[in-house]
Amino acid sequence: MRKVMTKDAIVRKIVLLLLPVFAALTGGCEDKIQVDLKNSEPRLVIEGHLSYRANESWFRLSRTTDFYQPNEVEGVSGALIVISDSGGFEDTLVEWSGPPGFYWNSKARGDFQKTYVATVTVDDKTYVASATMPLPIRIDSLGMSFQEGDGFGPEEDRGYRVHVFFRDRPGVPDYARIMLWHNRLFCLDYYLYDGKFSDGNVIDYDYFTDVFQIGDTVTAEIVSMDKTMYDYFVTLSEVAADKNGGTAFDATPANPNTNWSGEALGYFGAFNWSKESLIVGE
Amino acid sequence: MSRIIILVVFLGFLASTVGASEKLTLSGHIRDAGSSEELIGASIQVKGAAVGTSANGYGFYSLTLPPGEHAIRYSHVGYDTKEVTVTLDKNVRVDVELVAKVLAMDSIVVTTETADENARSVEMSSLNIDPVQIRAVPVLFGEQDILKTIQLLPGVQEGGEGNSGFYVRGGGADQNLILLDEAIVYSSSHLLGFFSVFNSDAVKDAKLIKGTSSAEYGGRLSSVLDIKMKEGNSKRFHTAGGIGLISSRLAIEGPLVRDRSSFIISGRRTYFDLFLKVSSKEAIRKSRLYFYDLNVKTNYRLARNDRVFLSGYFGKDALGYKGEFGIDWGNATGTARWNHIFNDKLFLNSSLIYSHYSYQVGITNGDDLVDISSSIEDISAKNDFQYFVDSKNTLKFGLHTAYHTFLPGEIKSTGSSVNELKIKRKYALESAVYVNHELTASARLSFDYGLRYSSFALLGPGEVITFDKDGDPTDIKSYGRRELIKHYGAIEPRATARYLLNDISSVKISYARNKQYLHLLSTSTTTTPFDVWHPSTKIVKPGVADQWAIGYFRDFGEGKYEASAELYYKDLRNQVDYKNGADIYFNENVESQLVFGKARAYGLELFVKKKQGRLTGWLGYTLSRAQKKFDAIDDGKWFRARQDRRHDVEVVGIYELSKRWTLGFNWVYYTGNAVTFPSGKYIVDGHVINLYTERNGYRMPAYHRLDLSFTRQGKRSSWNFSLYNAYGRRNAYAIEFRQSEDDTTQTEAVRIALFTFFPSITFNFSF
Repeated sequence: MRKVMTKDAIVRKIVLLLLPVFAALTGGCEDKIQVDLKNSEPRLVIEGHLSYRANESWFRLSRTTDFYQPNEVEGVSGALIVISDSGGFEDTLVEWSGPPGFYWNSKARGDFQKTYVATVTVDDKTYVASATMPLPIRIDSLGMSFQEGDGFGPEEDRGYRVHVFFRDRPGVPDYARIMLWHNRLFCLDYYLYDGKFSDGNVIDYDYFTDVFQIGDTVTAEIVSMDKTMYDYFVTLSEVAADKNGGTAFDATPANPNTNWSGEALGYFGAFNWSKESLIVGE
Repeated sequence: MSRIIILVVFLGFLASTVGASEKLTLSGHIRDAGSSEELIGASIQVKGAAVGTSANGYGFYSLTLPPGEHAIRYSHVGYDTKEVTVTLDKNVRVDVELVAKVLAMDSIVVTTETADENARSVEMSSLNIDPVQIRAVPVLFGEQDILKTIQLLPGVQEGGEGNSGFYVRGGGADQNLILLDEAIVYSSSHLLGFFSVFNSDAVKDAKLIKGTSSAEYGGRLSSVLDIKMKEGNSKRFHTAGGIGLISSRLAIEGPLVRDRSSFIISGRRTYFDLFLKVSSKEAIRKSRLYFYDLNVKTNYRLARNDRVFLSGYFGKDALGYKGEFGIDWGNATGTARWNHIFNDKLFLNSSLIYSHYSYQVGITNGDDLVDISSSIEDISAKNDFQYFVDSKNTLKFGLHTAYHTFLPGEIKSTGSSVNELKIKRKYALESAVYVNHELTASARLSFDYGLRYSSFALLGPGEVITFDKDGDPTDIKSYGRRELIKHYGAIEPRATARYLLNDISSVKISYARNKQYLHLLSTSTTTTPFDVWHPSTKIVKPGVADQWAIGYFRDFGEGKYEASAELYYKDLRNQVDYKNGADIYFNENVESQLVFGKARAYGLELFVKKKQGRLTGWLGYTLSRAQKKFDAIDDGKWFRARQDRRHDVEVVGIYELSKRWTLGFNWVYYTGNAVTFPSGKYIVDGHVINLYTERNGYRMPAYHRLDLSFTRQGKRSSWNFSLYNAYGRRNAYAIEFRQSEDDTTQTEAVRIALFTFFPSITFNFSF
């Protein structure tokens, strides 16, 4: 099977090659400092998740906090959330009884290739976003390859690398996110797929930074999405505060490209996915 | 355009009739007595009269005087002045050789001109740098670098810690016209920006113009850096070289035909890849990491009035991992020149120039090979005339034309793993015609003014894509070969006036308009090898800059000191920025990722220099502001440009401790760059995400640093010991705002500092 380079993979490779060179040259050192930051008015954050299956669609509403506050989510209750399409379908989510800010209902789901509009009303303000449910991309299989661990970057550690095999759908612009679990622990990095240079090809995606050992369980999921959602994840991954950034190769940071109208942050996306697991053996 | 040509001819005619009667012309070349290298900008003065001129870029001068006997003083920085008595009964040709001062350090480091020329010259906002004389200025890695020295001048900022990129008077990093023997150098740095491509061994002279340039220069909005390569010693063979921490250098020069022809070959290569070879890891042993530069030049005097020059530069960077993956990039330039002296007053330089920059990424996967490449290529021709009408009038006029070929990006693959992609080549013809007049109107008042008409034609074959507001293509129009897609043309006036208040002080005022037809697309905060040059198109309009400056200039201490104060204001239009998350690499619809706006910059620059004595050096201070305004960014409000700095201080000194030992030091202090920091945070998708409220609304902490160097001069060799960041300040290169590693419920600010104490050692030799 051929290994396919995607654009994301090419850029990822280049950065992984340049960074150690840069670090070796400059001998950079890190320390924690106190920087005075301005405080801003709390803003509404909406995460809207429309699934292709019933029981799995949910919304979560919260507000922004100051940078030096703890990483806690303050949920927003009492919102009216309606999902509709142009064919007259309309569905209202209800607030979950658990921690505040979660909304759900058992019926809400999206059909392939249909566009849905979400309307969220909080404190007399209304926010609107739309998303299209893409056709699914299926994982063909998972594979493993052994590396000696004699390189640097992702090839630094000895062990097994994961390969996710799938087929890019010909003639359709495919956008996806590949999620990975290492013994049920989610690997936080963003692995995004844009099929621009590999339309119709069989893809061997193996750019994960995690290395696995014999007996480990690998779970991978391809989540397909529309371009708007993909752009959100690309811009989100650039500013996520729990991953390293701030290199000279980065652009000026900015808020991710949300599809919500008004001043809301976050996203409304329509997703479907395909999942496979594997136990690493001899 | 024809009107301009008529104007040129008319001005020439006018000037030639001004007092041309009963005068004779003294002309010739001024050279170094040791090597016969022409001395650019050497001064020629009539003793006891306020009449004089300076040698042009080829060491040629021409001075028209009344008949009779004249005592002429020939002088140049770092050379003993020579006085020659000339009897003018006919037009006379006098070639003069000046002897370099014995004590190398008893001379000027960075120079405007000789003695009291700071005040007398009609130029402002410009500085010359002689690479020999900056040897003792301490630099990172001990690598002498003209671009790093330039950054120590007021009005010039470095592109980042240790970076050879630079910003001039609040302008962008792509707004500097960098010329090496007239060829444009599109990428002036090696190895992620830490080194410039200019090997000091091969450089004869560098001139930086921060403001109004003569009309012969054009095409960039903010500055001109004109670097000229050495011609090579035409008297004897000479070898010089050096071994440093990072690289070693070797230059060989000498006569090919005595007094007619000489050559110079100068090379530099890094050797840290040698260390990779001893690694225990196979992957590292098989990796590549190096850069090299090669400069070659030769010239031949055909006859007294004709001389030809051939020069070339080749440089390459290579980075490779395990033989599987590699990035290579580099420039190649070539210049063929012909100098012709029509008569004692009319000088022509005619050049054919080639310039090329490209990068390649190669990836192997088993039998598959993926190759990504991008390039820009220029073929240009220039004709520049200098007409020394009389002692009060000098005319320059000329015609330049360049054919650009842009390859924005191409992906090739053997094996079928990647679908091939070729973003269509773009072609453009950039031309200019100019006339420039230097006029001594009275004993006190002089002018240097000119007009440049520039023209830019984007030619087919090509496609013009129209985009809607979401950046999706709506319409594609195709053009055939050589078909005109879009034309821009503009008149660019420039003028400088100087009024001498007395013998040693003057006031100067200048204005210039510049157009820029090429744009560097780069979303990162520093320059990378992958930045792509993009022509002006229907969507991307040419950049325009207007700059005004006024200054006071003074020489004092019997020519030992000079000082200047300049105020400038720069207004820039059609500036390019990027949408959030812009995708600019290998994107055929890259224009949909751009946003357009304007910028302004203003400031005050103070400069004092000590040119002679055991201690030489300068003090510089800049108070400035640089702002931008884009409809698509921050609701169209003015925001600070990244390079906006309020205060910028430089202290540079070279102190001769003894005959053998020289101490060099520099200290810089500046307000931190404007940056975007978070003003809050939130959680999405399980990640803590920073909240940004305004572009460049914060500042980095103030930056300061002291560098030291000690040079021990032997008979044929010297040792240089230098220490970068001598008091080890942790200047923030970047600040990251991220989740704490110790406590994941918190976020924190983390400073990344580079180069806290960085010693280096260099051994130089010559024989």
